[in-house]
Amino acid sequence: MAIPRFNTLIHAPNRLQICAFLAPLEEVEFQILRVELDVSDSVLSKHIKQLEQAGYVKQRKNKSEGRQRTWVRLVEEGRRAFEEHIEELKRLANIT
Amino acid sequence: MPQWKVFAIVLSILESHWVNRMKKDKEQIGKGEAIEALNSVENMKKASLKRAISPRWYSAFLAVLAGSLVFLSAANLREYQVLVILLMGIVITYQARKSGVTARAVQMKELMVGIIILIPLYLLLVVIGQYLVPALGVILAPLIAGGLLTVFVYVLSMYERQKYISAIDSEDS
Repeated sequence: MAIPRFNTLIHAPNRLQICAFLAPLEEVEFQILRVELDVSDSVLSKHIKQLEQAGYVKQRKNKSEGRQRTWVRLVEEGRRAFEEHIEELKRLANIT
Repeated sequence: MPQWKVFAIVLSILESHWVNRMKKDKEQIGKGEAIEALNSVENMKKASLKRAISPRWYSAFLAVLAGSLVFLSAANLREYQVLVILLMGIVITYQARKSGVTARAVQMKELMVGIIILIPLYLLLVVIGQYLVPALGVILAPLIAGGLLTVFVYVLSMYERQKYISAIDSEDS
């Protein structure tokens, strides 16, 4: 079980949703994330960049059918930080 | 300055920094906000799991391809196996691109169980298929062996699918 630890970077609503969407999966395409979060490309890019700079996510670009596609995945460190943050939220919400 | 003094100063700075950070974190979020954040997380996890569920045709197609590997081995047509493996790769890539998500690889324990069961089963079915050739013919015997693996792989994929659906249901409750 993860140690409860509040993470201010992850806690921002959009970044929390990004991590929650990525957590059960291996990799997600950028456009799918954008649709699920209902935000613009630039907003999503900004949040992903912040998570990437913290070492929580990684991006991979590939070209298919003549267009560039970006895939995003939560790396081990990000997964751990997210789990710790969730544990802290549960503790604050008195959910055990 | 004596070393112990330097150590004490560093310790007190670290302590005050840590206490301030803890205070700041606690001030930032209350119970209501924590519950709201958790609900948002649950909703996103549910949406994510829904995306990860592969369609039935995909499971069935992969199962048929796995079965055809046994069929080709039992029928001594191994030179065509590379085409089946290639087709498997194409189908997996197509599905990943179409859905826009890649499901997480199964856990190590499940992977080991899968390998321990699937490889001997594959070899056993090839041997059975070849053994039955004199009795059932060069087509029917490998077809039965391949059919058995198809059913097994399809059942396994349905089990995996059910696991995802159960996970979504548990998020709902």
